[in-house]
Amino acid sequence: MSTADHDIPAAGPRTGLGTRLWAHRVDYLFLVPGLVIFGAFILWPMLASQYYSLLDWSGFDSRRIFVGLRNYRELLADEFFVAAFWRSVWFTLATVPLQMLLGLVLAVILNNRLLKLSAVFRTLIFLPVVTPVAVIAIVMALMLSPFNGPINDLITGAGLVQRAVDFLGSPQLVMWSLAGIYVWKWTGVTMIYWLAALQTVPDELYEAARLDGVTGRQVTMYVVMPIIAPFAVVIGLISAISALNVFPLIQATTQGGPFFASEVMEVFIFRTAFAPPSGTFPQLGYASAAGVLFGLAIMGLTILQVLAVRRTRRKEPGHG
Amino acid sequence: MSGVTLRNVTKTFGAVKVIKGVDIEIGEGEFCVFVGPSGCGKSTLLRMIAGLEETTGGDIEIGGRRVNDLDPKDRGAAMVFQTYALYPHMDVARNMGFGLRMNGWPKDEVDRRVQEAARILQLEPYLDRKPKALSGGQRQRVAIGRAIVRDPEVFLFDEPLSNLDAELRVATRLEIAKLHGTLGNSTMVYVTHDQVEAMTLADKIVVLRDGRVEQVGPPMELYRNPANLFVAGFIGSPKMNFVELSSGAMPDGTPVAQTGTARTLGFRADALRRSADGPLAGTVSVVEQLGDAVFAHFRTPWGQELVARFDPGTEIRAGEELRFDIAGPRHLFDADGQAMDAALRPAA
Repeated sequence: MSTADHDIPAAGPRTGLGTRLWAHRVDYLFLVPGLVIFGAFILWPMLASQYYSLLDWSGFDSRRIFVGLRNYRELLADEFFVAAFWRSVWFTLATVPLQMLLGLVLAVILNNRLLKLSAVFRTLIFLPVVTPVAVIAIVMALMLSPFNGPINDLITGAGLVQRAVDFLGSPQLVMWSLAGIYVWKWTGVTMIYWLAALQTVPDELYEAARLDGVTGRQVTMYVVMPIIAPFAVVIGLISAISALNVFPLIQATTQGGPFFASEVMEVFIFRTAFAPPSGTFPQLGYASAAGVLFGLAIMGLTILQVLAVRRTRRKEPGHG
Repeated sequence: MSGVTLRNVTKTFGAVKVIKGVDIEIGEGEFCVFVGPSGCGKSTLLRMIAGLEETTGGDIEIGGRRVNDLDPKDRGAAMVFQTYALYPHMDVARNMGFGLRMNGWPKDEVDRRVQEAARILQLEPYLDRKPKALSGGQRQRVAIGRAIVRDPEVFLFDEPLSNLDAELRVATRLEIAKLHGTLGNSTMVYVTHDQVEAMTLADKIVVLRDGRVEQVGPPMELYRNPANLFVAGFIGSPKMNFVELSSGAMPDGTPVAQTGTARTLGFRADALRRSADGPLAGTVSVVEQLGDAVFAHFRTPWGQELVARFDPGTEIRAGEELRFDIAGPRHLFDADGQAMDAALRPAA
């Protein structure tokens, strides 16, 4: 990002890697704790799961059979896996645009200095973000309950529906309900991202526009939006990756039900590995293969994000 | 084109009064510079004229109209910001024409005005460039262009040269001075903390301190007849020398003729002449060779640092013992710091 990248002096006379490592041995010693933690908790599980994905193994006994890519072949033919994969994609596509749009609208409103109590509103909107998922799951189960839940009371009372709606118990509605809960919980974070983006618009631009007789709406449309547009790529991708990691919310509300109707990728992996339906066995090898495939999908998205961020930085105002 | 009048203007931020009753009359076509140290309220005053800050008390008139309650866009003022305030995603032409277009002006008229402004500011080759592809000086010219296309009654400049390097600052200063002539002597109000900018650009300087006007007048009037110690010290480079007097004598007891009851004697660096039997003695501490002048900073027997100007080429060395006559104009100030030798008062 900075021009300092070009100012790095040329390397000194080259010596052997071993010699250089030995010369800086004390420096490298300081890296050891970090490397150990990274290795034990990130690198090892990743490599291990790739190995497990090639095994027929329950994860709980010593009987491990190497089956090559059989797990992968079976997965691609497994309608539960395919459904869960597309459900994750659907969930991301349903939540991210809505979350970004809502976050942007709220940020633009709350960025207005003239708005009194904007700090209070920001805090209120951010409150669901810091509330534990388990608490939200319990509260939402009560709120959305078809049995005297306040939301059902409200909509039946207002005559919008004849009978109480089972938001979390209906296979047709459950994903929409979860998407709604998710957007409600996480819009605060998107709003904070947008607010940060809005801080990059200097006050003088608003003032110059005011002197020019440009209306607030025109300033937002023609000045602010084009300036913060490059941030949309980054915010969108961060939101998308977080929407793919929705396991805690779904596990705490529906556990993937009813009838697997809310089983997204992560819930599928968890169920296959640790909580199989009664009468079947856990399949850690099979679940690992699903994890690897899902991981590859997320990695693809992450690479896309890195490329997009680089592109955005190049296009960012002031970087020329 | 019209003048600007400020009548008993005040401004408070919460409990803090930052502008404490300011009266200024800026004539039509005048180039008026507000100058003063940081925090004196000069930028606040400019923003109040623009309408970007509300006025707490008093009246602001532009072209004889009271504008206190008018929206910034209706005041007939255009402002050039220190940071240029250019829209980074628009090219030069769009930056200059944006305000007009948003106000529904016909495209042909907007284009005509943009072309005209670009011609005046020599920006024609850059019309399709984005601000980031321009130098600081060019960006500031675009900001000025954006003001010109509006054909305002008053141009307001808020420290427009502060973000430029020394060389560009001098060049852009000259361009602004030329522009004042080119634009049919439009009224310009210019804020700076740099007294050199004030001296070189202004028809009229308003010296501000702590939310009050210290003195108003043409640059040379302020230079020759400062109304008080503050103005005397602020206007002119190097700073005026001040010597505390006690019963008509300098701190080392050397008597100074015709000082009356004055408490402070002021004289500029160029008022000192080297003289073997002059009343003012000192040891040279630093010599500054500026090419067209030599400034010798010397330490008096009572330990005060003063400065004297010499003709170019004069050989002076640090450590040299010198004596001076105060041959040029002298300024006398009373115990309150007010000038005694002329009936000067801070007034328009």
